[in-house]
Amino acid sequence: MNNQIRAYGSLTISNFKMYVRNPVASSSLFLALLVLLFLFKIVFDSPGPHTRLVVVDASNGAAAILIGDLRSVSSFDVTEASEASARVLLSQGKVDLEVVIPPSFGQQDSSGRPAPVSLEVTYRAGTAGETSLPLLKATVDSYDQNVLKEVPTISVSTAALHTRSAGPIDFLLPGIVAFNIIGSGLMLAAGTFSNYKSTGVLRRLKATGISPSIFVLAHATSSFAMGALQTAAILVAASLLFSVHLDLVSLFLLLVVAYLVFLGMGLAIAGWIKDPQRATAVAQSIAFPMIFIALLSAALPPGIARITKYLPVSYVTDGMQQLGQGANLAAIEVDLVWLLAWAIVLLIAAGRVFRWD
Amino acid sequence: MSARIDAYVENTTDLATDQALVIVRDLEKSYGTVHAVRGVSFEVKRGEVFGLLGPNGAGKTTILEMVEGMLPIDRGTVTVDGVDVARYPERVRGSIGIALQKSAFFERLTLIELLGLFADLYGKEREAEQLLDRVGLKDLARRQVKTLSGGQQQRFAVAVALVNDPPLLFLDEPTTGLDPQARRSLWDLIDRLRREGRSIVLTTHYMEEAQHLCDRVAILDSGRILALDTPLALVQELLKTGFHKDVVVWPGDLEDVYLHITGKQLREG
Repeated sequence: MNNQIRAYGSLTISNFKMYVRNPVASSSLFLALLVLLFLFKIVFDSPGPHTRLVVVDASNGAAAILIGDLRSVSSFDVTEASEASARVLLSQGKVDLEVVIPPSFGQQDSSGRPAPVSLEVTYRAGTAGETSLPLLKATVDSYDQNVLKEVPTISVSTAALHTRSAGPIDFLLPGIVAFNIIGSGLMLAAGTFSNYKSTGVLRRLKATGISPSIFVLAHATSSFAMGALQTAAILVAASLLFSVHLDLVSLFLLLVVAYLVFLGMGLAIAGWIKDPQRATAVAQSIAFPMIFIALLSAALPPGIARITKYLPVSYVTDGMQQLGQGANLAAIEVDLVWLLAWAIVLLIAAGRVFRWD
Repeated sequence: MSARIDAYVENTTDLATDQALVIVRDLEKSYGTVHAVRGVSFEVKRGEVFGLLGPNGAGKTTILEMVEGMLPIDRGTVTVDGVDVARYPERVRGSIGIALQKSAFFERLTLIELLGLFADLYGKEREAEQLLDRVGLKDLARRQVKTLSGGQQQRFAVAVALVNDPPLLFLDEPTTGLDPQARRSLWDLIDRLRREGRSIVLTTHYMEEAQHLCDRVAILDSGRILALDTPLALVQELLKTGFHKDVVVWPGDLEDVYLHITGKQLREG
């Protein structure tokens, strides 16, 4: 047993070394997806279009100077509207931020000083409205100090308006990581493994008398760890670049378990089929229908859907859809359990059908 | 007796014992309708170098791989040190040393890392540097296999085959494609391994190599053993039939000239 653990550990570490020493081959898809993420950052989040403010002035003109100050901020596009109209504009996404100036604005207290007031600010989560809150507060503070020349009297209370599909990234991100897990989990595993077979590397390992299961397990471990690292890196990059409104921990869990499923498939295919080109073709012929099923899951005829709902890709799709709607880990537990069961079955199958040559 | 036969007798001072380490009986193998191995039987004694000779397609590699436990046996029995190969192929493979006809290794691992990995796979102590030293590759320990010359790759394959300190080594065409210096270097290595008391089974196309290295040889064709004995006995048997070759025995040959001009030392790189 000790020897088997030693063999497993040594093979796993060797695989890691090979991944690290060949970053282009092992991470090209991952790097391409990271670049894609940056491109989306440039396209969707470039400085430029201003924050669209709608101001509800209930003070009957007392806040004209403050509104003028807001208009003077170059990155604010300010319009005025009634409270009802403003809320409609905000909910429809036509403005990013609503500022309600209360009727008490500009009134004085019994001692003749400006009475404290609070501006009610509602922003659309995940838009420029959220990122421009500090600028709004700074503008209000400046008005407070320069115009009223009093101890701060205007406070700002904020509230976020959460809407489903808060931004393009919330649609894009699951797709990017799903593409990575299918790409590197299924396709790369199948390609690498069958390449070892065709070049004779596996025959040399066979000559040592080690168990095929140990070899498959070591390969699965190192590939899985690399896949998990890549998935984590994409999620971290996305959360740094964008305002992501998904439960990232749950998404990460869903994706790494899904990665294990696709890895199991890739290893089973490559272990079973000798010719690397044939193995890649078989992997593709499995991957693409799965992507098709995932994309069209809602439109499949009921008869077919009854069958496809048990496929691993259906659990991945369902889990992602739920997380996209704001669900948390508890809501995707069933998907996770089914995916884990698929992963175990496929990895055991990969060990069983494996052929050294 | 010619000078060459004298040299052979001197070279093969009997290190072998009568104890058989490998016993092959009525071995057969078919690929579809092709009968690749047809009822082959032989024994390999402890401490001897045993050669399997024959033209391409004679069945040398197929026999070797069945004996190693690398290929399933269709019919017949093979025991290695008393262990039934058909029943315990992994156990046999773990106890012997194998240098395949085309040994491939993981790319991007250095020689020393590969030897460490194979030591772990065999569950043996890591003695990578000593092994590289023995095969003359110590200075290349940090290089990757793909950067080695053909001869260096073959010597590295032998180093890997020695990782588990096996009493029995299988070398499948170890010198094919090597230049004279590399071939001589590998002969020296095989000679040293034999003198350490290891048994070696090798296949080769080169009769000179078999004559130089092997205590006994089996000559195969079409999956059958046609002759099996010491090289000297086989030559004597031939001479008894009245065989006569009109040759001028030169005190040297073209290879001697080549090695004299280019030097005997191994070319690295």
